[in-house]
Amino acid sequence: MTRSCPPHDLLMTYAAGTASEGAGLVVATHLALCPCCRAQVNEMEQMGGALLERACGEQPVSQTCREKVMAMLDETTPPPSAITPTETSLCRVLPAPLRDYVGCGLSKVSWKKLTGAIDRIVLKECHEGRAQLMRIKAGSRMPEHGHTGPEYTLVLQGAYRDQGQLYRRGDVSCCSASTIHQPTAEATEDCICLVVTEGKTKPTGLLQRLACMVTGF
Amino acid sequence: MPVAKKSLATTRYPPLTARMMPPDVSPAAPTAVTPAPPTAADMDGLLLRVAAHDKAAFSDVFDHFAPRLNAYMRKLGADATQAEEVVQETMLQVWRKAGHFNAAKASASTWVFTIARNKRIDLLRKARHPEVDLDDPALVHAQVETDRAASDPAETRSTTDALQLAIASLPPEQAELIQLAFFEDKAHGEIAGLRKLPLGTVKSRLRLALGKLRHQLKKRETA
Repeated sequence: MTRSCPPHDLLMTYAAGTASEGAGLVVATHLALCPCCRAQVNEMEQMGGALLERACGEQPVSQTCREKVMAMLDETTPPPSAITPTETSLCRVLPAPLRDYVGCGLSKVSWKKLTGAIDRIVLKECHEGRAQLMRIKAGSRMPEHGHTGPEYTLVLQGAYRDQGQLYRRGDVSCCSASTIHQPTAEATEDCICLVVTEGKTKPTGLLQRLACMVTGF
Repeated sequence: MPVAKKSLATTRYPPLTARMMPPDVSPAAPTAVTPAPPTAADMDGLLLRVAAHDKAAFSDVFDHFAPRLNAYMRKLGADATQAEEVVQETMLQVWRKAGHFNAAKASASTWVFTIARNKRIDLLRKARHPEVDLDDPALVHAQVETDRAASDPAETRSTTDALQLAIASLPPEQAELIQLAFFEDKAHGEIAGLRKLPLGTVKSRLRLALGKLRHQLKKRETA
């Protein structure tokens, strides 16, 4: 089975801690589903450790910093409360990092209608971009671009086809705002995806929805 | 006041007093000969003792990592105060979570690196670093045990040492890019702009560098 994985440089920025939170969410969720990328990211983190050890140089810390840390060693932190499994934690469709952002199991998501064929919830929106969960009706076309920066799509359930290539659970595709494509959800079941866009999002108000209706969603 | 150290298995550390000198004081005479840096084995041993709440061991771990973490944060653009804030929180996390450190799975420096990476995102970017949960029921496991070689602490340590040597022997144009990728909060595109290189060149050099390192590690495993 060929797998569509995040590009190498995205994995590197994730390992280095320089990716945006949205891109990090896509990568981490993909990692839960892809042992191969997990191994790659582990190697990159080892690299980070080796660089910290040998290539960073040293910048002595102030005496105050050291004293502060030593003084806090005796403070006890309360033990973590026992985690009881809940419907959320038992949800097998949403892997762990994503589950925290959604805040509930898939069956409890309060979807908002974007168009006749697309429901969504916005997980996080900030200056870096927007992360949303989308549900596209079986056989329907995926949303038009609503962003100016890169867009990452991770499939969680169902599948979609884009220019002949099939994207299934765990697959990630990356595109820019200028990419011309018309991805379509497979007719077998609704397709649920994590969609993260970076940079400014274009308004998805009435005008956009009208445009979607005209183009045949 | 420096506390008298218990004797360690290794004699690689300079006396505590020398290392606690404030940064703005230049010693009039040369201090003790700089020892070789601690090996991965030394660090693993220290962290085991930190897990048992040994403050002297933690003091040594602090003295090793704090200046490195500080330099790392400054490279990523933090000012002196911000950098020390991250160092402080990272080292406290090391103290609290030393019991969770697994020498078979990762080297001490990798573990500390990931803590610092996440703390920096938390404190300075006010964001989160989404993490995989290896106990997640939704986790897809490897079909073949891919990290067999990493299930033994001794193997992990020799991999770590080999990795550090391999990094030191990378061609300069690859080494520099690795440094930029990790130490500058810049996307590959920005690195390309800075170095006046095509983006494709930056990406392929990084891939080459990582591939080279992976190859070195595999050579050692089969040697």
